[in-house]
Amino acid sequence: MKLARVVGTVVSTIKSPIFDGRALLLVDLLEPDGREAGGYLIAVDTVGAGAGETVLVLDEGTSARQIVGAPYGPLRTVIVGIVDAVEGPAAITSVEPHRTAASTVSAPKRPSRARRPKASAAD
Amino acid sequence: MQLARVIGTVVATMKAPNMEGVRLLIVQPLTRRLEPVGQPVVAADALETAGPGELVYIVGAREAAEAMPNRFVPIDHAIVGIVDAVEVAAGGGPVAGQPS
Repeated sequence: MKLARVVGTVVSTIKSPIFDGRALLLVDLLEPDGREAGGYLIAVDTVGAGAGETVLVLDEGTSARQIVGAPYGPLRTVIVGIVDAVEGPAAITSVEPHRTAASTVSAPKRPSRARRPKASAAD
Repeated sequence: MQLARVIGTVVATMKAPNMEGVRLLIVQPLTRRLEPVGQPVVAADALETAGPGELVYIVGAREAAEAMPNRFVPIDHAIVGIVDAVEVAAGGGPVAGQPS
């Protein structure tokens, strides 16, 4: 799995049937310390993630299809979690040798999950 | 899955038996800001509707074959959606969509 940040959505009408009714989100891949790793993915949302949130992305087809309950289909990349925090040495930016006090990088503040409707399908 | 632009078609008469009837297009993978990145690849068109110039998204590896009616077709990239618009949240970069 990979750490990523939701940066947008992909709107698509003509698509493989397995994507019907599912939100396609654009996610930038991240280093453990929160910097952009370079690269992005288009991922199917299964957790109701919103723009700006740090998420856990699964990029493997068999597991992805298992999560959505589809035995077949070209589904490979899904968002499987919303990250609250990354802790430990990995969360410290290695290019900043002076930064040693904080070993926790918090995910961006997000609105209450209870009030926010689930991301609607892009169709 | 990644964004890509259809930049050509491939015609092949002699090909593996399971590939008969599979539409092959050349696609240029793009960054999320729609800049070309990496080498173009030949992708099967699972939708049978994509054409040159169109913005699409592709899937690679085993999942490409999963997009086709015959799941045991020897392909490694497939077009699985046509992009209407890419909507990027504030601060995430330029908004880009399908050219009219």
